[in-house]
Amino acid sequence: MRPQEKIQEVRLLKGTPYTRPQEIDLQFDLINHNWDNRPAAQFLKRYNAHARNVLHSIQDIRIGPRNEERLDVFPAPEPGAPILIFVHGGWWRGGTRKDWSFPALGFSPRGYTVVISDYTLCPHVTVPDITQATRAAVVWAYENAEAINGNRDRLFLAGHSAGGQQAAMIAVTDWTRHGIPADAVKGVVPLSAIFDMRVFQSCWLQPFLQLTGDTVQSESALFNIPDRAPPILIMLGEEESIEFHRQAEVFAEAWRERGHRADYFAVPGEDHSTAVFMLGSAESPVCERMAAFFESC
Amino acid sequence: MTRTAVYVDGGPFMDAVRQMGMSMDMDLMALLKELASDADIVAAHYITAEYPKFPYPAKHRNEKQRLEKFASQGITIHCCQPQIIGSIFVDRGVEALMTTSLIVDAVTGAYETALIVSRRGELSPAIKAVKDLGRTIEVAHFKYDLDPVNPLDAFADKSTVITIDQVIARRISGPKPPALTSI
Repeated sequence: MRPQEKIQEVRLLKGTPYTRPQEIDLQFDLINHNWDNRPAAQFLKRYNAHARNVLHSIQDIRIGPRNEERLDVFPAPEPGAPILIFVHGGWWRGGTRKDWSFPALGFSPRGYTVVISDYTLCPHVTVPDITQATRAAVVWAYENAEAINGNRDRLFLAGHSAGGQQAAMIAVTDWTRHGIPADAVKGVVPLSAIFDMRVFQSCWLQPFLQLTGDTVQSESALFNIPDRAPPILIMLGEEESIEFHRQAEVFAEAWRERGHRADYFAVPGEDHSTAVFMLGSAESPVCERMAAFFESC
Repeated sequence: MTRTAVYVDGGPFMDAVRQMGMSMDMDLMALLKELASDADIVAAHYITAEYPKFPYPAKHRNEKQRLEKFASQGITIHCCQPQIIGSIFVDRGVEALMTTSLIVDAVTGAYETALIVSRRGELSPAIKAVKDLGRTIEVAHFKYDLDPVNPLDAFADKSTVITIDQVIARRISGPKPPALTSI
């Protein structure tokens, strides 16, 4: 190694390919990369309200010790339906399940019971608390499957962005420690997800997340891949930043190296928001691909 | 028939279309003609800050291809380089380009009516100046429940709200928003 290369290596922020926190901020400061954020708010308002208007729902089911740890459920009309739990994003510090009813518009027509989970936000809690809330949602859906017209043997989970990190954590969870079978979750879709949390220790989000050396390890699915795990479908928008692609590619490779199934789909022409907004349309490429994946699990 | 020049504030237009679940692969010229009430469009300008190649190489590439398609429809593309301050994108130059184009084109008699597709309040001094030159100003914009008022409406002779259905009608390929129908 030449002296210059050694200096460059020393300067990298721990566990990242970056030398300065600003480089990481640039990969993740998504709101500030839009020219106008009002249209996204309009989309969410319009289609969340529509979902709640046209679909039967059971709202605000409390599943955890904190007030926000609740579920909105959109039961399938007929019993025995596959169950899809959806975990919203917002960098662990924003959003509620009420902003994310619209995925039910994509999966209810396909015969799914859709569960929208929720959690208390950072910095009121830490990321492990959020993971615990998501695990509680899985256990609740498994134990109450019949009451929501679901089939507990066809239980799936998807999450977007920070919710994608949660999805990945669900894929690496040992469910026997939570009182349900090891294979309770049949398939997981981390969408635009984070798999290695080390980047956030050096990022603008750290004051909110308060990650420690322990929690970046425990909350990074990349470092917790078990011997037994469900199939995953890693999805992201083709147009997302380089770091989202890096995270997805590294995790897919690690997952496969452990002998697990990792499908991969970069949604052509879509970005961090537009790809997940497709969950509202049953015939969209995102819903098509997810449904095909679930059927194959 | 009125000679109309169109000025599209490209960045917010793209965000509106895409973030409301629609496709930018559209016949934009046909949409602009409709918004201009089928006037004689003598020029159509699409002014935008170019999406940076880093850290968005695919978005940059796709935007380039989209703009080439718009150019093939007869729309003149004007790209500015955004400034990145820390991690925040700032669309430097768009206001200046739109303002100078509006005024210079008015002074040179390039149009009788200008249709501005924007909600950018900073264009209001230019609009007032163009109206002082005897030109007519029309505005077209998307309407958002959280911020329903377009500050340019107060200065325009006519204001039109662009609907989702109008955009979908001009779609060539790509996504469509969820249908607002019962399931």
